[in-house]
Amino acid sequence: MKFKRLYAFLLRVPVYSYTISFIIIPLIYMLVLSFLTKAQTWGYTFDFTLANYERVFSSFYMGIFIESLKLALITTTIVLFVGYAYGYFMARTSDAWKRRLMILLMIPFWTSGLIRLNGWIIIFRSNGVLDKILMFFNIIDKPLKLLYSYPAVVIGMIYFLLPFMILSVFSSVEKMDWSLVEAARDLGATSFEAFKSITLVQTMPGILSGIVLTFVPSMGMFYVAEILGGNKIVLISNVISEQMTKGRNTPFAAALSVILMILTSIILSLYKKFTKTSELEGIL
Amino acid sequence: MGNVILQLKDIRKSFDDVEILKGISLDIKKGEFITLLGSSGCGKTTTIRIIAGLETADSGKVILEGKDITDLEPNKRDVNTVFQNYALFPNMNVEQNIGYGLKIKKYSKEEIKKEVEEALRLVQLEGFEKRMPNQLSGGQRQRVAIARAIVNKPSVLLLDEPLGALDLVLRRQMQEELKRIQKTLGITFIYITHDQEEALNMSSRVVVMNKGVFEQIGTPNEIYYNPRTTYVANFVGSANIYKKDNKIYAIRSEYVKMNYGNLKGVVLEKSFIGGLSKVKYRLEDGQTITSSHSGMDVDVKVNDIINVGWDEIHQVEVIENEV
Amino acid sequence: MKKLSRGPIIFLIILTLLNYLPIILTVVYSFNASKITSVWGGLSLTWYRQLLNDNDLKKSLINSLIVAFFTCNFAVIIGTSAAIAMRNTKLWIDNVISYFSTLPIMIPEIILGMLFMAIFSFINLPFGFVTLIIAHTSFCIPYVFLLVRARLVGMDPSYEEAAKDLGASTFQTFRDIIFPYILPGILSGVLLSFAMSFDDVVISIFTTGPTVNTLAIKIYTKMKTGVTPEINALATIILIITMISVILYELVNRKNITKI
Repeated sequence: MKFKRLYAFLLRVPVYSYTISFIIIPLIYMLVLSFLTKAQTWGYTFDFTLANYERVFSSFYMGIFIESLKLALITTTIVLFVGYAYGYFMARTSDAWKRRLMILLMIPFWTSGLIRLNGWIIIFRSNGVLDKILMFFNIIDKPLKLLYSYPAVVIGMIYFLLPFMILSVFSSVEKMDWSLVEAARDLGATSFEAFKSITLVQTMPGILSGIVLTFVPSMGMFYVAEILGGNKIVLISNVISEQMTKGRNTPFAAALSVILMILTSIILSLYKKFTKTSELEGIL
Repeated sequence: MGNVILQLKDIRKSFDDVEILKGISLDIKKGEFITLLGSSGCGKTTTIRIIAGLETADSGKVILEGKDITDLEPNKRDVNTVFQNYALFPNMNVEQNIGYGLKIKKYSKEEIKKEVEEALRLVQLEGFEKRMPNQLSGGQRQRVAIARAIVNKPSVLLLDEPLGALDLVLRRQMQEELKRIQKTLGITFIYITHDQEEALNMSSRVVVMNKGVFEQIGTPNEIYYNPRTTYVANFVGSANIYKKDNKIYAIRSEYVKMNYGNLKGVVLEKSFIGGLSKVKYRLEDGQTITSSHSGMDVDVKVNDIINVGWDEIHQVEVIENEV
Repeated sequence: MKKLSRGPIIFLIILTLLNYLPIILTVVYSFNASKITSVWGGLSLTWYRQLLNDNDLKKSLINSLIVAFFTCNFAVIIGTSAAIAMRNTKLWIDNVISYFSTLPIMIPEIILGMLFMAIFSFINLPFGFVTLIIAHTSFCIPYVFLLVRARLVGMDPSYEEAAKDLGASTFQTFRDIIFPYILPGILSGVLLSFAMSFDDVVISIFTTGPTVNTLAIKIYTKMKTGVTPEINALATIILIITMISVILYELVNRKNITKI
């Protein structure tokens, strides 16, 4: 019994020390920082202020917040529909095809995101692959100049986040009890009614988990906006990044992060409330 | 009692304020085949888990060969278990599974090999050494689980419904094999089942458990012919319960005769089960009685009114504890 | 019920093709002799040759491997021990710690980047390998933790009981039964951590030092200035490595699934 207690203690040492020193303390530090004043030249002074938050809530930065949320919302909506269909159909194929499709899905998923973005640049750039094809078929007569545009950013985001939705939906469809659908059909429901009242309800955990896994990261993927959107699309994550690196206004970056963090927490707690679990489906 | 191997003394155990064992006591002799018989949730599994050390009793004592082992860790007890779901280690083959206990006891490689071979012969699985558990059928897994436990030559072997997952034919076959193994090794077996037929067939003594107490402890004969309570009478071979003059009696249906005695009964239904014809009557005072007869059919029709009766020596007075 | 009609099959095919389109184009253009991406100038290995001579890139590749190596080791130690320790826990403090330790994969990466940059400059930790490894470890721990925990949750408690029953001590039970059982989870965690660390851009930008460049950062800065064809060649090489790893991983996993 004494040994057991020793094991229990020793096994906790790494995670406790890491989490406290590199997650919890930095979070507290970020919170404190967001109330401090930026120094004239470099760093900050320990003067309590609400100025950072006032600036966050100014119409300019609120506009950026709303812009970020809008992009996340558009991305998530498209990802939801496409990803649901994909995950659902994938789960309805034979076991052999499930495995093949899974491997096909995992290869890009595991490949560096940057490398995949690179491919989109080739497609989107002026006189790039897409323009060439469209011009060849006489659909357009001059280059679309899609690179560094809003649609390019949305497509890039979708491309990145779709696998998360697919995996979430796939794993919840896999767990489904199909006899319920058969029972509903047996009782006279059309296939659409059965889908609506049985399948959709049963796969809701996967849908919700997919939404969280798409929405939350899409607010923080500043490099997609930077590479495919040029400097035209400014998201909240771009602002944080700018303020940290170029602006050197750490307290303001901290305040922005705190608000983004609160926003994320609200989404996560809503998820927890609806699904009664904090576990996300299908991420692993 | 020099040959008592295991003693349970007033063991109590609760889970979340529900009392599962309400002070049970039992002396088990060396070489006995004891069966704990009861329906699910009666506490029989908890009892053997306490003996194995996988659960700690709230109060009471477990004494093995004169030593108090109540607070001993399971790995320090000379007791082995055959688990209900077999619990064969999925990462080890048959040989490694069976040899595991001996390996822990630091037997040499040659000794382990020899003992494993012997154990496999005993359960008739020679040549299966290199198979993985997932390459075995249910019956084979069962045999490996038994071999893994007996190879350690424990003073007491605990078997938690080991045949529960097998089909009827395999069950019967394994029952006979378990009896044979037990006779060959002379190890004390404590066997759990909810199947009264299995209990009566295999055991030297049966313990009927109900709601955390031992209702009756006795040889299969005693349990069957002299049930102490209505619960035992009902659970073991579903005897007739007959009330007369504020007393309650249990009468086995095979002792109820037609056209005998002076009780009148209306035939309610006839059925044929496993070589026996059963006839159910309603007596004039409203009680129901069932008689059983060997053969395919009996010469009565539903709604016939006939005399039914039995000899007084076949009625056993029981305590009422279950309606 | 099991058969898909033509519509869904076409949908799956089109989406899979779209998924691979950027990758295929990258591979094709890596053999493009022309320096301008939009012009096809014939087959050539120029960019691969240039890649071989780019010492800067080689150095950053080595840096990435060093960071990924240490990261996945730390993440595996911390994540695995945590999953084992906190199995069946009823302590509230364990729940708090496991909540915060899995937070990094729940929140936008930018917050983590900001967090680490701020705290490291506050404690005056010089930016470089140490800061990169600490930061990368944070988002790898949750994967290992969750993967190993999932294995542990799925493990039938009677295996452990059987081992104890056969005389094994707590340590022996762990070594002989629990560890082999959770090993696939640990290995998946190692692979995932390695890939995550190797790929990371956002957090690396904030935690790297002036002298240490990882491959991902290097690619990122090059891409920001516009595509250099060299990157296509590099991407192709990384792709091939990834493809082999994924297939290997699937094979390992499938073997383990049939085993248990």
